[in-house]
Amino acid sequence: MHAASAVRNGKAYLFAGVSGAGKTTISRLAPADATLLTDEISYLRVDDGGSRGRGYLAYGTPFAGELAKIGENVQAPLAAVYFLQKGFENTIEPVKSSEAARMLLENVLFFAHDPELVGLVLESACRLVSCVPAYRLTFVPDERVWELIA
Amino acid sequence: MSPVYIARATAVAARSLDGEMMIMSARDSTLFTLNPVGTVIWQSADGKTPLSEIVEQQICAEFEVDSVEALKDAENFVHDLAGHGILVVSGGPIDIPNRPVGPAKPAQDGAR
Repeated sequence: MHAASAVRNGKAYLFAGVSGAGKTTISRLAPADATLLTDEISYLRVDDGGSRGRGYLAYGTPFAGELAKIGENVQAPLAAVYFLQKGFENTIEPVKSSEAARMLLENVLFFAHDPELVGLVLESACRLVSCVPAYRLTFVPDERVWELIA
Repeated sequence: MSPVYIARATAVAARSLDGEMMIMSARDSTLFTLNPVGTVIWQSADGKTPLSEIVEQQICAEFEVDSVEALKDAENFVHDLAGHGILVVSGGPIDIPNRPVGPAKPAQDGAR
């Protein structure tokens, strides 16, 4: 996914958005106790195992954006997906599943035209938004935004 | 009025999410989201049932709409979808192949 991600208090948060939406900014503003997974390309895997129930794991990746800092080699269960936009105040609003799937797909790095693969990508996006909460996160670029996130 | 038959195009992927149908075209990765009425029409597009019957039995029965008006809207809607290549519209029943076949097209910007 074209998204930043970070871990705080044992949970991972994904920040999706086009270039300029604030992926690097939100990563830069992360508090000292947060672990950065990437500010550019996020990696998620389905986590069907164990007591956590069904969900997703987010992993650190070596793909850095403007931050030019390689993500930590750690994993954590994905707690929320945020769709970023810069604004004049910090707000979080829930996004309904179909809207979330649409925005997610806009940020999936996918280049094939095979109908079967397209089906799998659509399926994956629908699955993700039906088990992980998604929000639109509007933020002013200062560290207080992290009080809303985690 | 001549009958209209509709069938889902083969090179698309569709999933229902919270009562809304999401359709992704394999050709160019365009994503369409249908409202509940559109979703009913999409789900009924089996190539065999005339559109008028779908409208009469599925739409008018479930949503309070005038059948003449509804059919007119439905015809516009299916032609619109056909224009986007995700639905096939015909004057006669449509055979649906079992195996989806995708048109080959060079990769482009893609990050969608």
